[in-house]
Amino acid sequence: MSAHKIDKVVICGRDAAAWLAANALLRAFGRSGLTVEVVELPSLLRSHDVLSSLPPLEAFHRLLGLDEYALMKATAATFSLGQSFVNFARSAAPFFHGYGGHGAPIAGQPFMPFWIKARQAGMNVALEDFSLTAAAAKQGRFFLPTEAYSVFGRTDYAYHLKARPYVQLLKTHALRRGVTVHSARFVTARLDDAGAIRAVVLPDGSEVAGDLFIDASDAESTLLGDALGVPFDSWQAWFPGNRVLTVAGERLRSLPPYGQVRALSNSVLHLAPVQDQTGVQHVFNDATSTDQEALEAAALISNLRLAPDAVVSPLSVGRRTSSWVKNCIALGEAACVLDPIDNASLHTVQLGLAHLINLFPLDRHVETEAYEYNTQMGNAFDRIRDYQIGHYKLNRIENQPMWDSLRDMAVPETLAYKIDLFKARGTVAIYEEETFETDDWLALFTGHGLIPRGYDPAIDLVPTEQAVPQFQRMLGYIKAQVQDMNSHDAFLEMHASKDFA
Amino acid sequence: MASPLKVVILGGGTSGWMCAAALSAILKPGMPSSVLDLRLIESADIGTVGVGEATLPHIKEFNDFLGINEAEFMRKTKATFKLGIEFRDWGQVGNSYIHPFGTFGQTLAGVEFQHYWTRAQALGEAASIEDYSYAIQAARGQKFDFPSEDKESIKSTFSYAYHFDAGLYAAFLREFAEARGLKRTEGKVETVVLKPDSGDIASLTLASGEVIEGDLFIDCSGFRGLLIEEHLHAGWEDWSRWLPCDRALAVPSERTGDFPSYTRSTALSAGWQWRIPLQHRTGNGYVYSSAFISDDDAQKALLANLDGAALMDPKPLRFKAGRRKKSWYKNCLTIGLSSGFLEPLESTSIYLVQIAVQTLIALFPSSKPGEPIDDKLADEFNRLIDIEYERVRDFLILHYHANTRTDSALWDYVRHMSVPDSLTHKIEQFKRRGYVKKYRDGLFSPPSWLAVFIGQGVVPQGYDRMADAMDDASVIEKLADMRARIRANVDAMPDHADFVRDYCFVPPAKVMAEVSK
Repeated sequence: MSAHKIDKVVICGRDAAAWLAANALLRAFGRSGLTVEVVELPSLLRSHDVLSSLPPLEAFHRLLGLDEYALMKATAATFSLGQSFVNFARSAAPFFHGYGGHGAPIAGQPFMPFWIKARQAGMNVALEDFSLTAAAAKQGRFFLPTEAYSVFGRTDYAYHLKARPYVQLLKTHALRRGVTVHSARFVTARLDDAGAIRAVVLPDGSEVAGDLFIDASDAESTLLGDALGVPFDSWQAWFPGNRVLTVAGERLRSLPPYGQVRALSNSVLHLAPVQDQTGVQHVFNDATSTDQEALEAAALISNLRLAPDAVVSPLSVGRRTSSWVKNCIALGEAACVLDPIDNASLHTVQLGLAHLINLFPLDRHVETEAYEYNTQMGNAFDRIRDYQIGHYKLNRIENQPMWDSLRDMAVPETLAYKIDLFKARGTVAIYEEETFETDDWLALFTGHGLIPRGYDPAIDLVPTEQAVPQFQRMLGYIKAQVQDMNSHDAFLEMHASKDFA
Repeated sequence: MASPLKVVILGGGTSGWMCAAALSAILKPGMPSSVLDLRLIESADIGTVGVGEATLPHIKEFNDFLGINEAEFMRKTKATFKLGIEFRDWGQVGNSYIHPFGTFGQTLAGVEFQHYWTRAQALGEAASIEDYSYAIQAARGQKFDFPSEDKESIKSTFSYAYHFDAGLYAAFLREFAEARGLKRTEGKVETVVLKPDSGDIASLTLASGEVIEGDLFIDCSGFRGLLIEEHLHAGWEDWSRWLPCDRALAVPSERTGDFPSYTRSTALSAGWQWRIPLQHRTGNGYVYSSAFISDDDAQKALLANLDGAALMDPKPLRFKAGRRKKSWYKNCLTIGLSSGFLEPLESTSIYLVQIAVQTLIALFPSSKPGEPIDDKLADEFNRLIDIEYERVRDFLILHYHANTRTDSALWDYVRHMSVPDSLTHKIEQFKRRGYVKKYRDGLFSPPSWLAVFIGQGVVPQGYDRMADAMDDASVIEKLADMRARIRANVDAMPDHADFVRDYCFVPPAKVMAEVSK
């Protein structure tokens, strides 16, 4: 059989996944003659939908040639330095997952064991108080990562942005790059004798043929799931919500540079601020709450005036057993549906594209690439899943049946191992393909109240008289730096304010 | 202050002394406030293996971490510099390639060099891949200089390791550790007393009658695994179906005029022969499979292949490829040959000791003396060490498996054997498109795989399409430029012999004086 080069990719789907894919593939392979066509399915977005990103999106946009501030203006975006988790323990203050490191080394040794030692001795300062990112966020400040701040390791940020204008912007950008678009209310697929997709069939019977097909149809998984029958592996047993209510709330007067995640008695409420409104998502379970009750709870707890057009959609978390089968690669939710809790959904599109570009098939004999892609993406999805389950497993909300049973559930072995090792030693076992790095896991574990039994004894050689003043110095440094920063509102005003005229 | 944890190292070879030196440097057992009470037991009656005289660049980090002065260390261990390993007759007879401690070419527009190289080859415009490696060109020219700190410079595209006398290195580290509070006891273990409830080791009784108690025992007793296997029965995972060599003969020979800055490994009919140049002699050895050659024939082959006259009778060694099922089991942790054996084809023996020592330090128990040690620490140690062994294992198997030699039964066997799935997939990825995954943990990095794949004749059929974003002329020009810059810079490098003489050479007269002391 003669090898046949990939001349044409057909992206079948909608919204951010489809248009990010079109841009990324043209950016990578446009110059080597790849043709990209999009079969666009009707958007599922409504005017007030908000997307929440993880920090790597900024670099991805840069690669695609998208100007940051122009994009933020167009999408009424805000910066996000992390997430505030509220009420995940009966009697504890909210905790913050900041997109940055914690503390600076003392006498050449990492900060974490010093913190554990002090904590064991009764010191009552949370790990997040040693995070510049978290401290800035909690005071409504914003800063760009610079060399000067790197004393506390990485500092980073993500975005909240309005989904519709974001997709519009991506689409315009892709069209300018020369992508062809077909619109279709729905599609089917025509397979060849070997079970690969030959063409996507539009409702009028016309066909869009191609060498490689990207399924960007969200949770529908039109090509990978429906046409190719790749099974879905449910993760629902580890997650409490099976429905999501989405609605717009009024704009917050001062825009927090972070998202909020609030545990309710049977559900989780997410707030994501953008410049002209607040995105509200309520993740609940139909066994304990009707849609109407979920809406009432969202209004009551968010304390925001809500738009009258809330929508509720079902949520079923899990992933396809493979993301790439034959000549079809599923991106984002078509491959893996995540719980909204850590804002990782949009990131899975980016991850999928980065891996696909890295392993873009040389010709139609894609088995070698598909194998590697599935191994890497499968691991990447499972590691994100583990991180998310961590929030539920480690909750300290007592005497609430849902939260009690989540706390008692058996979790995947990879996560159980991480938790056990952290409890023993305060270190994090990092596997291949982790999206969330050590700092993120430390924020998760300490935020949910875990205090390790042990720590690296080498730090005992640093006299307490030497270590303790360093703690004070760090807190003083953070305080001074944060005071000097612009407020998030002022920063947006200066650089990225949406023109509402 | 709580009383310190009692740690006992059994065995004083390279492993034992590397461990002792590192623990002494970091946890300072000599200081009154130390968390560690450290002693080492060794017996002069038990010989050390100490053939691992060629190292990987990581050893420099280890020495730097300990605060060791490089020139002094090189003088005391009669060391030379090493830029890579030459593989002769591997893959096929007549072949020669170098696995360098350095990169090939440059990454352009986010795409690794090999993809442009493969493309240029298809255009008939690529030179041998060796021409694009600074480290290989320097090694081929028997040159040496320190890498540049300037990341933009072509002279920053390599690192280096050493060849040294492992016995002298152990002695050097012994001095280092003893100066920092380590207690050394000469003696042979007669009995090992286990705790009846936990099965942990309670104490060792020496032939002298002395009883040595401990909280943690580090078994550096070599292959036999005196504690981990003979008493704790941790079990052994055998890998000899993939790595059939089970014996070696080691012999030093006289130095010749050559002063190579690389190790040489020459494939022979039933295994391979190493050549390790030191300042005062050359280390040699034949690693072979007893299933494919007799000891006598192996000895003849070895002696026939020396550069200079043999300085003594060849010393026989026996081993088996594999690893301990648990590197850390109960309160006994293994470092070195007690933990596993992988033939020194890629100079990984000392690296594997080093990584075990560093992992132990990172996970050093914080328990109080007499308390049980948290078993999660052992789990994590074993997880990390298992990754290291498996990565090295796959890399070694590749050298054997990817061959077209038809001159002996060994090479036929290894070419046809089935290899671990992890390696099968790596080979497929590389063959199809020059793809090498970069791992988070463990050896080896992509340039090492690239060198060995291509050296062994596993050549990519395709390349990353991103490389097509550049036009033919630019690709050809950039490759030519890389090659020219490497050649010009290597030409200006000092000879390895001159460099060593100026930096750390011990004149023979002084060697004799020191030996006779």
